Amino acid sequence: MRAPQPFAAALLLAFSCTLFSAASCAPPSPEAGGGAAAIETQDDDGSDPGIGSDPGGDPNWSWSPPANLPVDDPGADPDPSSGTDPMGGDPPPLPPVGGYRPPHPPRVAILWIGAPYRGADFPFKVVKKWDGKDGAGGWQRATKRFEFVVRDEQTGLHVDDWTCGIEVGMAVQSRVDGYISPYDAALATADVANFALPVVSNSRTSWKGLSALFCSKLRGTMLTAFKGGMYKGYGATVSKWGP
Amino acid sequence: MGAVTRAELLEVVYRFHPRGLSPDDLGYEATEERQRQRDAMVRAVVKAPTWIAMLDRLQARYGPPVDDSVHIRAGYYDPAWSGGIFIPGYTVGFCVCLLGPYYGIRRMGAASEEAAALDLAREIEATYPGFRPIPPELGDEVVPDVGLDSKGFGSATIHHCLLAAAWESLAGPWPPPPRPPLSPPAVPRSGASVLDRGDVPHDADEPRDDAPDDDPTRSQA
Repeated sequence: MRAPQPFAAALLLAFSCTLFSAASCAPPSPEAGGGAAAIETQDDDGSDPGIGSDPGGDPNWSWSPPANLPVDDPGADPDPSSGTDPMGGDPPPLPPVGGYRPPHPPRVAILWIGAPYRGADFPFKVVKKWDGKDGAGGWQRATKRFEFVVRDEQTGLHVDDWTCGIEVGMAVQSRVDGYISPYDAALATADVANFALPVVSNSRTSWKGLSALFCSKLRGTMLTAFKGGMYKGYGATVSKWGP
Repeated sequence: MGAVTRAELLEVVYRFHPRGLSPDDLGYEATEERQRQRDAMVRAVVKAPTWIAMLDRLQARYGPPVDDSVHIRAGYYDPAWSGGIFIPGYTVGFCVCLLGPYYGIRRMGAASEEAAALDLAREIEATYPGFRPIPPELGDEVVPDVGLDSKGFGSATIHHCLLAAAWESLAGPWPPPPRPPLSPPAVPRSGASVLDRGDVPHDADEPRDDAPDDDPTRSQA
């Protein structure tokens, strides 16, 4: 039995993509900004949520970090042979084999498993009750292991993954804000985490192989967000948790 | 009592922070320097009432201050007692070091901070005799070979090591300015094919396999 012609063509296309380069098979994409920016350029008035609009309850849902935050690392030097599209972290590509040259180094994107985070992701527990004597006191803490996956943007293939174990603690009673319930603490932490992740993610063009630096920077950014924002009075700490 | 020098500050930093090891590294917890941090914290907790009494006095003058050192009393390490006061339009942060006789006042340089900063300096020096301010030009100097829990190698300064890892955030406009707006989650068009983040948007003019038979784009294929 013969397969219909369009199906056969699709099979042939998929095979050639696998054999040579999926990048060469991808639909045309804007050169600047990567996939996230490309999605944001869609003509969408927001009236039709469509696919992927409801992140609630989907642990694998992820969203694009903002493109307008400062980038403190321009990434690795561009491929001198191509002269365009620098993507950080990876060494220059090897000389072409058999006449084939990839159009450009692979783009990578970070997926944040479980983002955006909610208060339920940070179950705070009071480990030291406030004795009522000083203006501020007590202690509550929550731990979370943030999970990250780096994928090639065009092929979707896995490039790298890591986790960051983070402990967040804060006072139970604050001089400035009064009683901080575990519920308040969880909401504040989710807010800070959702702010910090895109900031850290966008501060380099590639985090491949830099998991320790990423985790350190995530802790620092969350701490800065706590101390420099509306949660200043919470007395929060952000530290490494687990291996 | 002479001025604080760079050499003495670095000597204190290296006495309490192992060179070339970050808290992420195996063996960090077993170093002598880490043990000195723990010893300093134990000594500090005993003197917590001094810090709390100073905050009470500041509260009488400026209203409820920020107490960023509750975790030290709960058994967590930090290099300094840390707090802040609110003045119209700003917060002014201050730290009293646990590792040496130093303190720091973090301010943004606004004229309205001047009187509060001077008052804070007098209060700290009266409460902690012999403590000296770390000059900003020394405090902002990067310490080679030292990594902190939230500061990687090459970014930790003397201020971060001896006063607060979030030193820069201790002072600023109050209420805080709104955060930079975050892009909302990318919402693709209804019916668009989305595999994951990074998927290239479907071109509206491109014919679609799943378009209905009367779709004009199909006829162009």
